[in-house]
Amino acid sequence: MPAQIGTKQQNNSLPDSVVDDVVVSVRNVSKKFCKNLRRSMAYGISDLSKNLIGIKPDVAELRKDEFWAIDDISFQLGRGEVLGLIGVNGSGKSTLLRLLTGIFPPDKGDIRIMGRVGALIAVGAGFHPYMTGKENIFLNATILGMTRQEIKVKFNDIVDFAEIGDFLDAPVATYSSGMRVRLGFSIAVHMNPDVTIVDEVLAVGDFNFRQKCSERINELRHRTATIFVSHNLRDIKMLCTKAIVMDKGQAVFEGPSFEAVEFYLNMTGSCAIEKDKDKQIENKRLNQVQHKDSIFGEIYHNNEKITDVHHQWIDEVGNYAESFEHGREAFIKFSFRLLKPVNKLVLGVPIYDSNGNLITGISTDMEKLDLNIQSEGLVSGKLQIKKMSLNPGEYITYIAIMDGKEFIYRNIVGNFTVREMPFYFGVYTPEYNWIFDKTSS
Amino acid sequence: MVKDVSSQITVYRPNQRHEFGFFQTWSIMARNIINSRELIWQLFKRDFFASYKKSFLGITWIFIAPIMGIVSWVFLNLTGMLHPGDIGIPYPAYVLVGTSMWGLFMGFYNSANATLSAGQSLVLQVNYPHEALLFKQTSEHLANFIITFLMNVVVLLINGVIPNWKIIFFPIVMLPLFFLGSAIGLISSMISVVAVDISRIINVVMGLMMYITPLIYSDKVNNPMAKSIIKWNPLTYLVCSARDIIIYGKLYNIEGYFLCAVLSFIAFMLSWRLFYVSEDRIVERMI
Repeated sequence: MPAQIGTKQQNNSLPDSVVDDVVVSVRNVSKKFCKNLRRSMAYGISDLSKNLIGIKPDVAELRKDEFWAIDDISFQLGRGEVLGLIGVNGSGKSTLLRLLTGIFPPDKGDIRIMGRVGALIAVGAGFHPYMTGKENIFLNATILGMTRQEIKVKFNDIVDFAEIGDFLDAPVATYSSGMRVRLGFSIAVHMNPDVTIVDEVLAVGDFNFRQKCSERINELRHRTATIFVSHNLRDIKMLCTKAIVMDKGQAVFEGPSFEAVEFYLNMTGSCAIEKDKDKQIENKRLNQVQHKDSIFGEIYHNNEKITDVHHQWIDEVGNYAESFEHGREAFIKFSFRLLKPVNKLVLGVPIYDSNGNLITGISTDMEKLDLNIQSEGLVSGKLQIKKMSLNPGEYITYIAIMDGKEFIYRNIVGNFTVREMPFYFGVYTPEYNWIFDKTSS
Repeated sequence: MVKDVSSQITVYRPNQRHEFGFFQTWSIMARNIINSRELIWQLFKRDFFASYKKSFLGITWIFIAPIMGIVSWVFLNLTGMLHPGDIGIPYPAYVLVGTSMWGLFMGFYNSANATLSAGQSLVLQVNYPHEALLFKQTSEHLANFIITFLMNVVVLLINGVIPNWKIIFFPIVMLPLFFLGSAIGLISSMISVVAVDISRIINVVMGLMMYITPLIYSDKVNNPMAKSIIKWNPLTYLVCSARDIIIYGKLYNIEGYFLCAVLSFIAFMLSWRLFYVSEDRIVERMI
């Protein structure tokens, strides 16, 4: 049963003692940080002075400008279980991982871990570019906590898995970035940990290596308890047995990974940060600044030809929307004022997934629409998506306004999520019918 | 991090490190250092040797700097700019050994001071006993010092000074320098994260301390104020004893030396404990 957690009563209902197969037990853990850098340093000095005279600093109370980056989180994880952590940037995932690896101490609650923790967080930590692959294997594995004897035994496996071949005796500086990551990952996965922590490591490397990593994590997960952080919701669904959705340091949902992903996509606040980003982009646009720094392609604004550009996603009744049900109608409403005549106006709307992959694009050119606008003035309209055929997930839309082949405007329309679909594969479900000619009784 | 070895359960909870008494803390830290010797060795190798890997002269560079130092001392001596005083041995030799002992002390201080910053990127990525970094930094400093020191012995011989046989006690005589330098350095290492200004002041003061220690001048000063500053400066006893055991085969001032040595040891143990209970709160401010 999925559980909506975050209340003290439920968290306190966790057993006090660690049961045998529980490898990770996190009980009512909180961690605070300070928003103000100078004040944070002042608190540091005050804590240090208290320690100097032997007084324990009171860590359970918030001081001015402090906030709970992790707020009352509890969960247990047994061997063979894979826990996914989902949440927007800043929701506390990385801090939680640092608490689990013991890099930061908790301010409330406690964490118990049975056995060795293998963190695939900073693969290749401490690599020295001028040292050979071989020397770096010994260095990095020692940093991760392996003994010399252990490294010697696993050395060949590490080299084989990393596929670095002849480069073993070459300095790591001569490696491609992919090779470096492969080597780092290979060392980390050969630690044989009891708890494996994986943070976005699958986002690097080429396709084959990503496959190999997934397989290795799958292999490992039977022997270990795994905690997996990824923005790739498909990975979360595929690899995790359960998941926690985090928001502002709190666990707002805990349950099977499928339902957690669904909950995350339906979360009204999940786009909060992206909305802020949109607002920033919009503000910059209004300030008539040209910037070309998006991974989703360049952003243009030719101030001599166009002004007053507005665009947003709206639903069937015309309200601003940032999430749509699969199969329902959706619109992009746009308006802009042309300052000069345009011989051939072209409007395009590319749609990307959250990893920056182009999923599809719609353009007036595809319809051979002849938009010759010889007078300056207002242009407005709507793009109708008759049926949202994209599968549940987060998407990013842009709008491009062109004069022939010249971009006069290109900017983000906004992020939207597609939700509510019981079962699906991939990113897209076409309209379909199963037609059977014959069925035998 | 506290490990119950029998069941291998690691527990993290607030103010955990305060739960231990002084003696327990020291034994935990000593155990951590012993368990981290492979890590210390690997990091030492990385930082000491790897930086020379790109150069053709390689490890020879470690000897080049001290040789250049000797050349300049010999030259200054030849010009007669440095006149021997009433110190029993040629002045250049006196100053060279004295300043080299000062360098040894400052090296201990600087090594300890870099305990957290030297591992900044690692500290936030991997959990390992940070006290290992103190020893890695110190070993690096000692390795450099030994080479310079051997070169200094050559200079002494050139200047006609034959080191006293009691030089064999030098490794013990210099220990208080390590204790005091590391004690100040460890605290400064934490302060440098949360109070940059104070840490800079400490650095400047440490640099100035050399001038109130009779190293480039004899302690037979006439000014009563200068005399009393020198008298109350613990480094006078510690650094000068390290120098004198080499040149004269005796301690600078036996009572003064032993008193300062004991106080340095206590300071080191206290600062080690303070480092242990505070560093996790300091590390979280390094982001």
